[in-house]
Amino acid sequence: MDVGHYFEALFGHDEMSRFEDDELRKLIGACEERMLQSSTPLWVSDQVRSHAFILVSGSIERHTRTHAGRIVQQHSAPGTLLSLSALVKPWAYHSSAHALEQAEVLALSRATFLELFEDREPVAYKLVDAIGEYLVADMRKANGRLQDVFGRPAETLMMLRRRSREDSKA
Amino acid sequence: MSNSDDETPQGSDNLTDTVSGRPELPKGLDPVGARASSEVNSSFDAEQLFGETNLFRGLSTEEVREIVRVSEQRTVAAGDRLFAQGDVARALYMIQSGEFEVSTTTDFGGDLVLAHLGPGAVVGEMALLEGGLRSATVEALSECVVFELSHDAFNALRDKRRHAAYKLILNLAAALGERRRQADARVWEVFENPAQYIDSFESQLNELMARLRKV
Repeated sequence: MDVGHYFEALFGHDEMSRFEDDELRKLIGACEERMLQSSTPLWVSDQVRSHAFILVSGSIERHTRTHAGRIVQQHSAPGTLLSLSALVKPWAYHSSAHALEQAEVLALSRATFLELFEDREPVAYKLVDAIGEYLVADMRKANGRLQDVFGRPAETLMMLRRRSREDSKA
Repeated sequence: MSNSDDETPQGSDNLTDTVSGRPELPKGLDPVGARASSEVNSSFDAEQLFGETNLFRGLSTEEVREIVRVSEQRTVAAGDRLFAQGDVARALYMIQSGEFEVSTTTDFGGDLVLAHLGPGAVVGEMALLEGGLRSATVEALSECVVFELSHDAFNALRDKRRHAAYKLILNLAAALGERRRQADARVWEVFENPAQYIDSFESQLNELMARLRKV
């Protein structure tokens, strides 16, 4: 792997700025390269998570089904971290993600991350910091959804009636 | 980070970010009467309590001790609050003895009891990772003894890149991830079978309206 190429591509980008130069090089060296052609899936729904991803170039579109409908997100900023929670546990995906155009990603497996962590590598600690931030933010959003549904029964009732009508039409 | 993952999980349960599931009571710990009478006993109790809780899974005895050293034992009188909804979150608490009630104020102004927590339960884990505001009130139903691990004390360990602190964060992340999945499962369950839940939301709404009319 050409670590220098990836370092140049990722250096200075937002999410990578948490890493010192040598940490970023260590991280890149621990990853596998993946080149995705347009429309190639990065992951699919129900697949067990095994890798976190760093977007190097191109763009990725993610589709997530929620109670309120489908959410579509596009990621094109180099250095974007995707699927960080794969480093914590092999939870199954309930979203899917694919390349919108040719995309280059680096994949870090949970096993490699855990080796870095057990070796007390500073880059692993920085990744743990990022995981913590992400999961707290995600938990707050989930609590917001709980509050939306169970704390506002009138709105929920309207949504349920609408959904029920749609279901019976279908 | 545009990581907003994606799980729309299975299972159900769990209510707020301030309350963790209640693990089994640590072996040998008196659920009601455990009281540390000296610093040595307190430290021993804390090591045992921490060491047998899921949150500290995988930490060595020495690593648990490192966390215990920066924790403080506190007694909370019956009727006193450990913290209130809207307070700035500054610490995680592990309950050694006694019972707490967790409640939240609803949009309609009433208090909703979310859970009762006893020995071995952990309260306020998210405070350890990020301050933020408490989303529920936790009040002692009896005299309680807790161990307090403050955000500041924990961050001091983190700043020193202590492995124990990072193991704890990973365990917290696993617990939060599970809880997030459970929270979404509760929401998902309602919308998967809308017809099944219409009646229960209707009666909930009728009850609330009746209560408002009385006021």
